[in-house]
Amino acid sequence: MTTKSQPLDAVARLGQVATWLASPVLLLVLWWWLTERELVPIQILVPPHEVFETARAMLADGELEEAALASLFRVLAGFASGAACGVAFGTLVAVSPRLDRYAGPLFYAFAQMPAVAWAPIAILLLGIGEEFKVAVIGLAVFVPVTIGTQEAIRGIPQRYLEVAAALALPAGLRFRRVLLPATLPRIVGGLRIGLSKGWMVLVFAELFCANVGLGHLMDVGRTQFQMDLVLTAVLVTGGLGFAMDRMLLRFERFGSGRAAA
Amino acid sequence: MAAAREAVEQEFANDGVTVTWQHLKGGGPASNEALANRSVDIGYAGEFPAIFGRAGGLKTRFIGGGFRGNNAYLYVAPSSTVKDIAELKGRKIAIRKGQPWEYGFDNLLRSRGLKQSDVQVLNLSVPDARTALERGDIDAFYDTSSSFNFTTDGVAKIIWSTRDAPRDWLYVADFFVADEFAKTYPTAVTRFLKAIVRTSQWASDPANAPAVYETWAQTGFPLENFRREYEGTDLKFRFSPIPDEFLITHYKKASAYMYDNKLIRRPVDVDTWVDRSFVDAAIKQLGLIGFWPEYDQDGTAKITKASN
Repeated sequence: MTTKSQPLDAVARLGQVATWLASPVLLLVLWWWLTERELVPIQILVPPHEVFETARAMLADGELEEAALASLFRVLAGFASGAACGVAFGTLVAVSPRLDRYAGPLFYAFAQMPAVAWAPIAILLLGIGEEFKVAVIGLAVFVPVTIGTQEAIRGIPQRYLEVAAALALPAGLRFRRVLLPATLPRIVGGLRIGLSKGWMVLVFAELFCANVGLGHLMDVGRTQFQMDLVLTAVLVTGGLGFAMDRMLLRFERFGSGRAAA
Repeated sequence: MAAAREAVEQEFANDGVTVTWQHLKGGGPASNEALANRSVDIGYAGEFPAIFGRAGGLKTRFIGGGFRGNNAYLYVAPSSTVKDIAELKGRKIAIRKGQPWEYGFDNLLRSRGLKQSDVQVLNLSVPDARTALERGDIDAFYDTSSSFNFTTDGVAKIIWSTRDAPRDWLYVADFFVADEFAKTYPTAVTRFLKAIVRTSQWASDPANAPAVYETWAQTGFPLENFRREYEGTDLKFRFSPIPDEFLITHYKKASAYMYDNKLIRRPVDVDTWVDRSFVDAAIKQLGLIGFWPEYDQDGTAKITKASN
């Protein structure tokens, strides 16, 4: 899809972009209208132009960047460790039914517990610094990634493996052409759920104890009755999460595309 | 306090007016939100949350004092050799940021020639501060009597308190009414305050102190905490419902601190915020003029000619 660039394609793309923008624009109009008519207390739902003004001022003095970078670092570190463990553990339980029998029930019980429930214990063990935040984010990411990976591997159609065996494909080729394309969509599905859980837990962990970060900004904004601050932090969190989610989708297409080529 | 004594309910008992006390778990910030979305008409909040609300454009009037002279304490680990906050330069001190005792904390540091940037100030909740003290992650915690159990549990000892500080460093909590409500139902506001004033009069009497502590203990904190916090303090001062020179100056200083430290983005004019008319009327109707002295900006009772 990257090689074609006919005019017709451009028109289609433009249409696609318009479709994407429709709901955010509609939301923005609704937001503006509600505050313009003061149908909601404007101290709580601050008018959009004031939020953008706040965001601009915070961007200018570096406050927003500092908070976003701190949060991004925590999410990336937690996501990387949680995803790595999840893919590894998910693969192990998928290929070893015995391990699955032993560890499965405990894992699924663990999966039902919200990661934030571990926060007090994590603080006790790891202190109030970065480690505990990364750890609880990692835990939140670990669960869906494990499930996604396990299901992905179990779901590889038997005949794919048979064909690969019949063709006597070398291991590398087998991985690239058969295993990767067959499993990637579900693994990425797990990663995407994990990522969104990671952001959720991040905000929570930063409400707990942090001196910088987007969740901390939300907490400060609420305490100081500056809801524009809260809304700014919410929008930036949403934007960053959305961008990372898109990157994962790209990664999936890239991986599948290469494999199909 | 007034809620527990059902004083307000009694005042309105014969009018078919139902008084609902919303004990907001979120404290001051929640009081602002409730006032903003009009789910409450009269809010009760500490000076910081109230000033946050005012600076954020909440249309309220400051109608009466709740209680003042609340202490804050400096907690350190039992094994700590620190005797004074000045020794904590460059070290980690936790505080619940955005709470009114932050103003006293800043005053304490400045009295030792330090600024907040000379120490590492961490924003921690009470349970997190407890863990952090136990683990040695922080060197001190500046908090209220709600952390007294740290000392009984052997997690911390107190090396300083605002009992040794000027009265202005202590924190307060007061009553605020939605401007529209005050315009529409002025008599209701006065009657509400009558109930508050009656309760304050009762609580100002040292003889009632044990009963006061018992009422508070219903909030779940041990009775002993309140005894420790209140014993030997001037109850009349603490329960004065009058927004007098002391209270107004305190709000002015606190809001100036908040503005200078960018906690609020626009200055707050305290003089135009305060509306004493309701509480003065309530005191007059109850024949309590002169029961509470007017306190000057340092918290010293002004000597006035007996007015009744």
